[in-house]
Amino acid sequence: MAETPQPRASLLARIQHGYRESDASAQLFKTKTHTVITIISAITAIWVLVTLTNWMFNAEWQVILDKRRPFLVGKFPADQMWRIWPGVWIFGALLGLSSGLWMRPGKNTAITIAAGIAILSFLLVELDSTAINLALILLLALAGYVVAVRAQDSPSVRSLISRVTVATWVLLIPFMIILLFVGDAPPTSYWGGIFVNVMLAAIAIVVGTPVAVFLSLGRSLDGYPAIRIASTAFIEVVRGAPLIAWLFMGRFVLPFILPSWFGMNEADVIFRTMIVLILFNAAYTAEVIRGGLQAIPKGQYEAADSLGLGYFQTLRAISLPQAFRAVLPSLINQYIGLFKDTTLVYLISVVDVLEVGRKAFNELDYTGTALEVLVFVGFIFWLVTFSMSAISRRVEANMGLGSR
Amino acid sequence: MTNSEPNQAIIQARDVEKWFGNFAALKGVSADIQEGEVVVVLGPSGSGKSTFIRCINQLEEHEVGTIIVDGIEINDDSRNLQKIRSEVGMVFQQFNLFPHLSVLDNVALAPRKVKKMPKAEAEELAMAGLTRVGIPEQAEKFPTQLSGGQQQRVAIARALAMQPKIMLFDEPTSALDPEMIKEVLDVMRELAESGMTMIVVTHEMGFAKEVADRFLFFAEGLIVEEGTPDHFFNNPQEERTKLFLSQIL
Ligand SMILES: Nc1ncnc2c1ncn2[C@@H]1O[C@H](COP(=O)(O)OP(=O)(O)O)[C@@H](O)[C@H]1O
Ligand SMILES: [Mg+2]
Repeated sequence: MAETPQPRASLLARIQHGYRESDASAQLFKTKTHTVITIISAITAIWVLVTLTNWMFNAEWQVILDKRRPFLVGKFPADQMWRIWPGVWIFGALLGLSSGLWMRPGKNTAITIAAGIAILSFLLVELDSTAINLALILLLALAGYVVAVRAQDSPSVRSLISRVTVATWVLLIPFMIILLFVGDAPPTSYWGGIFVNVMLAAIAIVVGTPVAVFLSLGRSLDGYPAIRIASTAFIEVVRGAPLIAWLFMGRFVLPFILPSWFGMNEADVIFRTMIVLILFNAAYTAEVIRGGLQAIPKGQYEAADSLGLGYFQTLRAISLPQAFRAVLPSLINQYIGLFKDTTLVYLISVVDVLEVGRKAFNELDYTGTALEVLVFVGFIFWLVTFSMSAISRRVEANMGLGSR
Repeated sequence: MTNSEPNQAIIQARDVEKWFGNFAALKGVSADIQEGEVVVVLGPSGSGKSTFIRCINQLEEHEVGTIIVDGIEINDDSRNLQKIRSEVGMVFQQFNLFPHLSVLDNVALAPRKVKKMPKAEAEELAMAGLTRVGIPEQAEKFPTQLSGGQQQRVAIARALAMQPKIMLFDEPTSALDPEMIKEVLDVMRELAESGMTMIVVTHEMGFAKEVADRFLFFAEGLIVEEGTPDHFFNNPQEERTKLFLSQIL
């Protein structure tokens, strides 16, 4: 918690303070063994660093530059990009606003932003609409952050901005979905790149988590054995098979078992994949949430009962908030795993960012660039998952007061 | 709704039995408690004191007998249950504050959710309650940042915010360090003087002697003796009462 003793102190002062606090020099050379380990580690670190830098400057990065649009959105048509960018701009602005409103950025935020800027400046080597749009996102995020920090001084403005921010977060995914399907939209077989990974994971998280809440409640419902058995059976069956099996199931079997309402049985593969991921994520998340619910002391429910709160009021105001606080790290862990698992969709012929990469280094023009491509894709995944964990740690730190 | 006639007891318990499996925690308890009365419940550990007062607001469901609170009979009707619970406040040994809410929100929560009071009004009420228990300056803190005595006073303010007619206290000072007991008892004393109907399970005999109108002495799931403090301190009848008093005085 108290990582920064003087929040307003200069960065230099804080680093010096941290160094003195950790007593690093004394620790590193405490005994002969310490000294030997330190020297060996230092040599290894320098060697790794030199090798990496050397490789980075000699690598063939042209493939990344040429394929940056497919990496982002697959073969989504260029003249249809207006369906995607607005959602992403809003996402950037919301990130900025939220971190300004609710989190004091720490060093992880700085690392993430620096990495973002690094990618960006690389892409900006050739100025085109993709690069400009990416720059716009960063700019919007920064603007959002500044606005939010400025608003801290006036409670009424702050509460207005935070309301707008929360409402926009809630509406973001529906908004993006509407834009993606309204009018003469490209079929979902054109979806691809990191866009598909993020969309699939986001929908599985946003829709799957409420489902998970119901499943976890259902599983612990004493008075209604039918509901309890159904929830338990669903969770255990879904956890009983690997994700790939369910994806194949969604691809090849679901069309035959879905009823024909609204043409559901003819829905495309992305839609079916979404359903599979939502249910898969819901089953795992349900168990995480159930763990949080079980950790709540009985006295909390007795206090709520004695005040006359009803079952749903107690859930909403007392047990769910405490359960989510308690399991936030495991929850984020689950979400990060899910996000990475979305790369499996290439098996049912969805061209996600990893598959874009695989296709690229198999092209004749780009032979021998597999390492570059994989490093780039890996870096993108790292950037997203690291941001997720950085955000969750910030949220945790901010909630610390209330939860201990 | 509240068809309590004058002089009719605000709590009427008749032959109440409470079973945990095949163990009877209450074996036929009858008691009438008048409006404005302060009743102290005494008895050895495991004698059913907590179970009895928890039956009054139905944290425990009794199997046999009747309990009528302010004219409302406790039965399977969940609307009656809600009504009773909003008229009966309870303070627990372990405080049971909501750790994720600020002190102010702890107190304002029930008026907002149960009575649908507007936020500003509920917070005003909560501040008034915190002032009454002497800690308005702690409103923005979280429960874990307060001392035990302060937490218990918040818990009292939280129960009072529902403007109950009856307050139940289950060993409210047993989890406190000795130096904090007085601040909680002072609040309870003030409450008793204001005319609140109170049932208090406690081992604080000085407080009990001073504040109680009547003692109920429990042993093995039954009320074995009842009477005024004077009766208990000077003229107890039952052997078990004498033994118990000799142990705690
Ligand atoms: N939830 C429960 N399940 C089983 N037995 C219980 C439960 N609650 C209380 N009891 C038993 O009922 C008896 C009375 O308990 P309690 O009312 O808490 O006693 P007191 O408050 O007088 O110490 C004890 O023997 C206790 O073990
Ligand atoms: Mg007890």
